[in-house]
Amino acid sequence: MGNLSSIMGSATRSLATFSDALGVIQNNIANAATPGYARQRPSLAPIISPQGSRQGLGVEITQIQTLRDRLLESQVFFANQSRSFFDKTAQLLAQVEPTFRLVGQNSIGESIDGFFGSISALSVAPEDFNLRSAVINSADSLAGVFRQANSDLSRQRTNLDTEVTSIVSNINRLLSDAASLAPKRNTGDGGVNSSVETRLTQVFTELSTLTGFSILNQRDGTLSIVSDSGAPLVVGDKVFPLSVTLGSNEIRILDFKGNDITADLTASGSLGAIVEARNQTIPGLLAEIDRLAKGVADHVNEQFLRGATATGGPGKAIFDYATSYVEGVGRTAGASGAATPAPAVSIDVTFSGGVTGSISASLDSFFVAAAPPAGTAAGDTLSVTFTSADGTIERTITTSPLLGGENAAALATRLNDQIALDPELAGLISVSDSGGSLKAVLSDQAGQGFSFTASTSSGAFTSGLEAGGSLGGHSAEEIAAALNAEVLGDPALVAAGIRFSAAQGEVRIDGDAGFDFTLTDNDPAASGFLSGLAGSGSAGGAPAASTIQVANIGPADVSSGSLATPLGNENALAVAALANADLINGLRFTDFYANLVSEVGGAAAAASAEFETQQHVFGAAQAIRDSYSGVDVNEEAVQLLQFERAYSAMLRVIQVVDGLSTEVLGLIR
Amino acid sequence: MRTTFLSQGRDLLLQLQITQQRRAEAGLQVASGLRVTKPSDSPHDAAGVVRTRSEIARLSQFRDNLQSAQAELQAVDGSLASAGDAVNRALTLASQATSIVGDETTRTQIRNDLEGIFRGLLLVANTSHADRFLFSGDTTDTRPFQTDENSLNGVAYEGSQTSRQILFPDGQPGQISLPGDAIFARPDQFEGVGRTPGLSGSIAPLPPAAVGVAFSGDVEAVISADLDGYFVAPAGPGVALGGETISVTFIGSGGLINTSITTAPLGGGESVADIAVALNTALAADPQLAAGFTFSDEGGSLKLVQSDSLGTGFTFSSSATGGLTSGLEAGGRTGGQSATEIAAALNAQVALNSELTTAGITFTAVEGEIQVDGAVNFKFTAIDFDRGTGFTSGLAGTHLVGGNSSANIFGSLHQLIEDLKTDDLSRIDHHIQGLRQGVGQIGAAQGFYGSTLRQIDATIRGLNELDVVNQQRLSGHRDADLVEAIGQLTLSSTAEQFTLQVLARQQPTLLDLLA
Repeated sequence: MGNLSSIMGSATRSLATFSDALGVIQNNIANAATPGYARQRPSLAPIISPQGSRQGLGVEITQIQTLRDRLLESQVFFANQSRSFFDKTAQLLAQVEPTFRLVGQNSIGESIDGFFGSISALSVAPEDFNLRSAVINSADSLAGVFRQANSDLSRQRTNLDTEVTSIVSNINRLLSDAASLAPKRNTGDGGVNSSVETRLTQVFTELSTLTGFSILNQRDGTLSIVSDSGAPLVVGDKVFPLSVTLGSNEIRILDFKGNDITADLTASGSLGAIVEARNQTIPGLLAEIDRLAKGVADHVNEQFLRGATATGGPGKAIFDYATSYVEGVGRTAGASGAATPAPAVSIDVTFSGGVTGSISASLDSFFVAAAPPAGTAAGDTLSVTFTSADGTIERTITTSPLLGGENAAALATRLNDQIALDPELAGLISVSDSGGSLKAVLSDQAGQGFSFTASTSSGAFTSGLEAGGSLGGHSAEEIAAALNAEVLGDPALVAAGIRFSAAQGEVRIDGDAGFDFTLTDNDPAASGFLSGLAGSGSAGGAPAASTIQVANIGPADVSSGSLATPLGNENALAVAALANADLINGLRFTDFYANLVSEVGGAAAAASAEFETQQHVFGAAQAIRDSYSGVDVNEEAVQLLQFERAYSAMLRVIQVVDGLSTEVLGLIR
Repeated sequence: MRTTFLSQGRDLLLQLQITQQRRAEAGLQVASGLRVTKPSDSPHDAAGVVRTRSEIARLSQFRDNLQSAQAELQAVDGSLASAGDAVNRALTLASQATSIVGDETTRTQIRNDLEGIFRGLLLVANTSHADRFLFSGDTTDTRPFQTDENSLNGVAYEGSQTSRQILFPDGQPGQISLPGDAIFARPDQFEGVGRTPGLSGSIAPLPPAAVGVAFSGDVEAVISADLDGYFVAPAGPGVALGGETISVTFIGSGGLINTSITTAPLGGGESVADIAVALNTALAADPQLAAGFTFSDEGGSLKLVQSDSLGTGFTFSSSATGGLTSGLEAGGRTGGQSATEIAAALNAQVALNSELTTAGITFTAVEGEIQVDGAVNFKFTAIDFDRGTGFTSGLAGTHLVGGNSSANIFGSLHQLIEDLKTDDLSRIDHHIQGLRQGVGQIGAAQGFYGSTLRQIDATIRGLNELDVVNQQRLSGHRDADLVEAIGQLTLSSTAEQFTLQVLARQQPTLLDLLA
């Protein structure tokens, strides 16, 4: 049994222990509202007495336990990374949405409708110069809306360049903070400094808002932070900062070695959202707007060029923009040769750069009868039926009765007479004598190929054309059509918007995005054919939306009529009909825009919905973590009461021992 | 699960944000009446709004266009009614003119009245609506009829022969006008101008010169007629010896002429030109052939040219005495390029085509030119295939010809007035017939415009009904359900108030009790 002195000593030590315990509780209550703080619990244990001693020495705090669970904290960080990504994505798409207005004067959809509506109105009164001016004004409005859309999206892209720089700077600052705090975690006695831990948690929480990362606890007690791409960000007290390079097409995030880790950034944090919006979403939308602007401008221009101005001049384009097509020079229809070219002329095109693929289009040419005409007798006739490739023209011509003994030249004259008398064939097909045989050639004006069959009125009379054949294929329109037909067979080329067109007798190649091409003419029979595009070049990717404007034309230049009737409405009707034609991705212009609206709206709505989900996931992760680590004031109050009572009890013990000691001292007196 | 100091506040704050957002969305819907104002409100409905509004705008433009055409056609209807009245008055006056004998004053009065009707009809035919001439085809800025005293019609049509078209909502163009000349001055026949036989060329062309005609309108056909021309001998004559002669026999196509000529005995060594002179001398002596044929030297060969005056083609054969050759021995054909011959050649081709025969297409030679007529309304395009001879038929080009029931109202009226001026009453009945047909022609035009107007009326009614459907569809895509929105607003406002109350209420803790 111990004496009073030892009891007093033990009681005093216990009193100090309870005082420390009260201090821990006080600290918990003080940090109840501190984000990242993990509650602490003092671990009380009896003080072990020296060997041989049977007397207890009181109580002591063996350790102050911080209730922090790394796994639960990681889950909070991960949830925050996702939440932040979708939050930022939703914000960015909300900024993009006004560009895709559903209604109103600045809506692309309504402007397209307004433009075609003005042309439709002009078709009723093409001589009305007020309506002609209205067409120009509506074209100007449409061009302005396209430019505005481009400007809005481009400005947002520029803003993101600024923001990403700021975010990367913040990330690096937080990495520095983490690197400076991490070494202070360990107390040296195997414990962890709770305040430092709390500060680190705060840093990691803020970092998880900005980007994705993982924390690795090293064996020596230090921390390492690595990015989602695996690049080290902090090792011990060393920081490996990120950097950013801004390009016109995209931004690049680089690790400390300068390696591009942009592609490895996951859908985490604001940085991931901005990189995705800056490098994919906004450029994609700009390309779609470009595609729409270019589609409208090209198709409308092509049709206007087919018409005539009010003064009878050749049709003029109404839209002007920085083009990206390559136009051939010197296209020449193959006509040389005394035999039908076999194999036929063909064109090979190989695409590289922005799109990969190759196509080959075979083109019909002129036709030379295999044998000369023979056996003509007086009164014989020769009939030839020509059918156009699109089936819209099918005409039969019959020569006037022959005199007998006609050669190829005379028969050709007879056939040409009948062709001239047929308004649908006149100027399109001509027949001549080629080495004693009939040769049929399709002119450029046909714009499409023809097949033909022939028959004679007498079995004894053979023209050499009886087996029939096909003609044409060398006009710019036919070359473009043949190549476009091949493009349709390659989804990659279709997706890239590769398109051939004819303009003023030459062939153009263009696409939505930039690409390289190599084109080869194959003319095995030396017919003299030239596509005008042979060689290599780069085309596509016109910044149509940013540069589109109304061409320098006046009301009289609006090409509503035809050369025959300049003030007619023939061409205005054709232009107006474009509004209802499936001309862009197999869709009408407004349907294409509607799909774009749906796409943007879908992405924005999905991001908002995902943000809400991630918000709840984040809240749940926090709740689970806080359930373990958070401070419950009531719980702390109970602890406070317990330690207060223990402290009071110990004070009573000291009072009792003190009284006993006083009495013992009184015995001595 | 433990509830901590931080989590309580955080959960309540999150709940407050959610209820505030819902209240704001519901409030916006109630205030604007719209459920979808931006793409993310409902991507599907947003696209639907764009598509439906586009469709509404498109159909609205069609309706505007049709209403514009409707107003124009109503104006046409009124004009044609006036024109019909004017022609009927002219008919009455013309009938009166036939019954007046020797009353110059009345006839002058009738003529003056007819001139007034002519001027009035000209005004009607030049009617414009909204600054557009109604009867000028598809060139509505051009005054269709101009006074032309040199014309048999008294007016010249300067409009287009192409009808105006308008696009209907089904994407198909529809004709909404008739060219003015088809109503007021449809020519009953066409007469060529400037027929010229082809003479140029050092060899006879093969195939021979020809004229082709393509018909369209109420009759669709193509004919082509070969026409003989001059003849050039394939070889020059040989060297004549003294006393030799050359004979040529000419047989007309109709067989009415079959005669031979023979040169006087040649002196020997004549040139080609001399032989031609000898042959021409022989021709001059023949009363049937005189001035009908001419021989000449064409590059060392004999060239035989037939004149228009014979009006029929010829075959010829030739022979010579002794060993002399003229180059004409193989014989040949000449002629075929007079108006009579061209008409005959074309009529021969018409006879081979049942459609043209049924349509009563005929070619007639009139004073050296060719006239084209038919029983139906048609347009024809004629092309001269001269093979380098310089031949022109006078028909080349595209021309409009009216059928039996067609009427040249201006022509009949003008010629009636002119005849009254000269007291020539011999053709008044003809003019009256022309005016009667004119009344029918105007009636037919009224029928066309009436039918077109009914089609437009029906289309506009259909568009109005479609607009209602589209507006409902747009409402379905865009508009808010106000009852639901107000309910949501009330619910979210109440929830927000509760959340605020909860947040504001200070919860006592054990610490408060300890204090």
